[in-house]
This record gives sequence, structure tokens and C-alpha cells, in this order.
Amino acid sequence: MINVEKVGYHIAGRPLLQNVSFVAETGQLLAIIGANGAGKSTLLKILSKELAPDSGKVEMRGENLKSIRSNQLARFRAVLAQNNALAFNFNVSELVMMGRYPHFDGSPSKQDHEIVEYALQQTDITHLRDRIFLTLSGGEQQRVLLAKVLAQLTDIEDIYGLPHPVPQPKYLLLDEPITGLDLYHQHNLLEIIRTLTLRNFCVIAILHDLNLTMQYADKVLILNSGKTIAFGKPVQVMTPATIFSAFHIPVDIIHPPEYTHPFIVHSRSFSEQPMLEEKWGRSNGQSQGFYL
Amino acid sequence: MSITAEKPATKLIQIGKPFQQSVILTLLVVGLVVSACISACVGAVKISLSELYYILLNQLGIANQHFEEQQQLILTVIRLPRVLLGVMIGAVLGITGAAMQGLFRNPLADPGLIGISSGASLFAVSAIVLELKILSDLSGWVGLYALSAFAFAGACLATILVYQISRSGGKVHISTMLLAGIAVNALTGALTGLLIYLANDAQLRTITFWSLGSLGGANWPVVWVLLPFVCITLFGLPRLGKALNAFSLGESQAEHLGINAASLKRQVILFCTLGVGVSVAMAGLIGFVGLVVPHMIRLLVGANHRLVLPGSALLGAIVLTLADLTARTIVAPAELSIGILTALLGAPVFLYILLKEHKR
Repeated sequence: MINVEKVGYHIAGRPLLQNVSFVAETGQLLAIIGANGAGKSTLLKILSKELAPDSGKVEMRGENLKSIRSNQLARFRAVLAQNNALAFNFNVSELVMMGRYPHFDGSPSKQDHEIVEYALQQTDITHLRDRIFLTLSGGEQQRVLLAKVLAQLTDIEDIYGLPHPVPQPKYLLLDEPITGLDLYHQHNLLEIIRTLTLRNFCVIAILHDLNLTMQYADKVLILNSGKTIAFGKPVQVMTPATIFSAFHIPVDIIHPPEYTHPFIVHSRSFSEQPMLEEKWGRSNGQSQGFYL
Repeated sequence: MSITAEKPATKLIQIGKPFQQSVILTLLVVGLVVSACISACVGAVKISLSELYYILLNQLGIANQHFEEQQQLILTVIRLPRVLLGVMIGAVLGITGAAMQGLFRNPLADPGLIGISSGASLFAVSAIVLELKILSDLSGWVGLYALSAFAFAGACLATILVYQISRSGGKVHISTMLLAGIAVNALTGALTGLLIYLANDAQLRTITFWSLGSLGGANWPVVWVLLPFVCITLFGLPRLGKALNAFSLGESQAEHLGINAASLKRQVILFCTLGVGVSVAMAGLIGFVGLVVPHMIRLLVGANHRLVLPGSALLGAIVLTLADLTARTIVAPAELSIGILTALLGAPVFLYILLKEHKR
């Protein structure tokens, strides 16, 4: 699990994150939502050790992130970044093989090749293996990069369903992974992520789509101006009130009886205040989530 | 997780297969041996292949056959060191070009970008024009290579300057480095220009000759001076292939894959400065090899630096060996500057590659 304790980060005296605390469990997808400039990407950069927090600490596997060496970290933590400008004409299988780089020196082993093959299959891009990455469509590129992080976090035991000699949790950090994907591939990618949480991965993703968050996330962290607004299960903490304070937009939450999860709709003018009750909803018992 | 069958890729690009890649590297090695032999045999005094073979065996003390004194001398004193010099400098220019393009994540980069060549030029030209006292005071072996040593010092100083400018907060910023390189190149270029005003006719000739590059100064001591630097570069850079691959995704993504970006930058710059600095010092400015050769290799083996780096070294060596052969035979008994030839051949090849890439 990832334990974030009172993390703060400033740039030129301006606070980007203040006193952010939460716990991301293994086997769960934690979504970070919030308006532009809320501090989501900064938080993800701190979690991926790209930035060091000014205050507070981040623990991964019970160890302070600060004291884990980068090459060690790369063996159990992968990051799917948002901005992917590849400089040269690598083909797809070479790019996916880069995910194995933390695991070998010199040349890739037979097992590394097997894992790359497995990652290509899992993301349905085996037919693209010899294509040049830069000639692919945006959605295809995103799946290739997902295959890369998958290859980074997959052990040979996972492929054959063998028990791990030392079972270790894996961590996956995703920065807006579904932005730019069509509806089908958005769900496809989130389904893949769900299979990873079933394999006991700890996944943290920045998402912009509130309904997909409601549908797929196990936990949600709502940020506004670098501060936590709410943290907990989506159905419990994604309320018209929290969403209004995070996005300044009035929404209704509706829960048609034939669906397992509620929907968030915006259908009224900006000036109106949000309704504070769910339509058709169950009465909202406050249990595990908290509001700030 | 099922996906409705997508249209299979109609145009499979057939590069990047491991089998083909090793075949291409083998062919390059063969090509290098062949071009080195041709270059050693062809010239004012012709030497046949079998003569070359036996003279080399003689030299190694394996065979003992008698040859015409002249051929043996020409080969061992003139041709052989010159061919070796061409091979070494070509390999260094090719591999450093590939490494620089990887580091800057830009296919237009070459070692000259961070001031190596212009720094060497400035120092070499000032040594020539100001007829520095130190140069004439030094005698013997050191004196002979004082100009080279001076040029090498200039290359190192310019690179260190660029490197330091681009450092802030303990981090080297690649984009700042590019801009600092342009600025330092402009400055050293201007200073070199000023010095040329002061030069007399004889000095001008020396400067022109130096700035167009030539392997004419080849002899065994030059080869021995160059050898350790070349070895460091040729063994140091290919180790960084994996890291440079990851680096092409961007600095932060390389870090996510466990690559130490700071150490990678330091190593690439160090190896390039050592190799190119000493090459420029010995043979003057030889353009276009470092820029074009990696592009040609990428067309053959794909983008993987683990192949591009050794491939560029091999092809660079081939190209420079053949260019030097042409340079010294085409207007014989005079000699063309090799820099003219590499640019003359390199520029059209580069344009061809650009147009071809554009169409893809």
C-alpha cells in the first residue's frame, strides 16, 4: 500500500499541495479527481518520486519513498505519463521491451521476451508489434504504453499462474490514462486496470470523467487548490456538495434502480446551487468516507 | 477483455528483426575490413592484396618473405597509420553523433553542438595566428603535438563552459544546453573570425587546411596518442544503449524506468568530448559524418541504440576510410581536404534521407 502523510509542496512560495494524507490499498483503484490546477499531477509526480515533497512523507511497501533507490523502485512501480513524445522511430515491441529494462542488464532474457509477448496480448496489440510507434493512432499509442508498464510490472510467474517466491505488491501510477481515447477504449483500459487490481496491484489514476470514476474506482480523492476535499468510496464522497466545491458546477446525482452505481449529470444553469439530496438515491449514510 | 478484430496492419515495416540486425552488423564489419584493405592498397604506389597480406605477416614476424623495400615502407610508414587514423576517427565521429542525437533526443544533433569543434578551432587558430611562444619553446615529441594538445584543451574548455551554463539546482537541462551550445559556438566562431583578420597568408593557409580537415598528418605516434581516447569512447558509449533508448521517451520517463539521467548525461558528454576533442585536434574539422551516419544506420536497423551505436561506429569508420581514399587519389598528386568530401557526399545523402522519411 501507499501511505501518504501530510504531504505539502510549494513552488516559489505558492503552495501546490497542502497537508494531503490518504492511504491507497493494494488491490484497489484509487482515482484522483479535481479541477485543472488542483494539484493532481503534482501529487502524482510526488508519488512517482519525480518531485520530493517539502513536508510530510510518502511510504511505499512500508518504506519511505525517499530511501528507495530509483532502479529498485522501477522494478515494482510503473508510471504511465501523460506526455509521450518519443524521439526516434522505435517499433512497438522495442518500446514495450523498455518496460523490462529495470529487470535486466545487457541483453533481454527469454523470459523478458515472453513477458513482452504477454503484455502485447493483454492489451490486444500483438498485430501492431512491428509497426513504428509514431505512425500509430493516439488510442493505439496509449495501449502500447500501457503494454510497456504492464511488462514492467509483470513477473514470469504471473503468466503461468505460478506462486511467487516472494509475493510483492506492485504499484501503477497513471496520469489521465483515458484522455484522448474513444468510449470503447476508455472502458477497455479501465477493464484492464480492474484485472490488475484483481492481481493485487495498487493503482492510482488521475481521471477526469466523473461517471467512469464512479463506475470503476474503489476509492476517490477529490482535490481542490492543493487541499483534500474528500476521500473515500465514490458513492459516499462524490456528492453534489463535494463536486460543487471541487469543480464549481452544480450537478445532480441520479441512481436508476437498474444500475449498480449512480450517475452524475449536469443539466442546469451554472448559477444554481446544487441539490444536496440524491434523486432516487438511497439515503446517504456517512460511513467510511470523510468530508473536509 | 475481448476486442473486435481490428484491421490487421497492412504495411508491416520489415526492419528491426533480430536476425536481420545481426546480419547487418556482420556485413558492416566485413565492409570495414574490405574498405580498409582497399584503402591500404590503392594510391600512388600500388600494392596488391597478396602483397598486403604477406607484408603484414612479415611485420608481425609470422612469415618471412622478401618484398620491394619501397612497397613495404609505403605501407608501414604511410598507408597503415593513415588507414588506422581514418578508421578510428570515423568510428568516433559516427558513434558520438549517434550518442549526441540520443541525448538531445533530436536527430539533428551532432558533437559540434556543445562546442567541442568550435572550441578546438578557436584554440587551434589562436595558436597558429599568435604563434604562441609556448609552441616554439616546446621541443621534440611534445612540440610536434602542441597544436593538437592546444586544440584538445579548447574542445574541453568549451564543453565544460556549455555544461556549466546549463546546470542549475544540481540538474543539467538539456534544452538550456542546446541554447548555450549555440551561443558558445557563435562566440568562439566570432573570435576565430577576428583572429583570422590578424593572420598572414601562410597562417591563413594553415588555418584553412586545418578547418577543412585532413588525415594527411597521420603517422604512428599520432595513432598511439589517439588510441586510448578512441578506445574509451568506443567501449564507453555502447554500454549506454539501453539508457539512451529509455531517454528517448523523455527524461522523467527514463527515470521511471530506473535510469539515472544525470549520470547518463555526464557520461555521454564526457565520452564525446574525449573522443571528438582528440579527433578534431589530430585531423581538423570533419563535418557531416557524425550527423549523417547515424541516420543511415537507423534506416537499416531501426531506432534501438544498442544497435545504432556500434552500427554508427562501423559505418563511420567505413565512410571516413573511403572518403580519405578518395581525397588522396582523386586529384593526385595533390590532396583534397577530407571535410570537403564528407560534406559534398554527406549533404545529398542527408537530403535524400529527409525526403524519404517525409514520405513515410
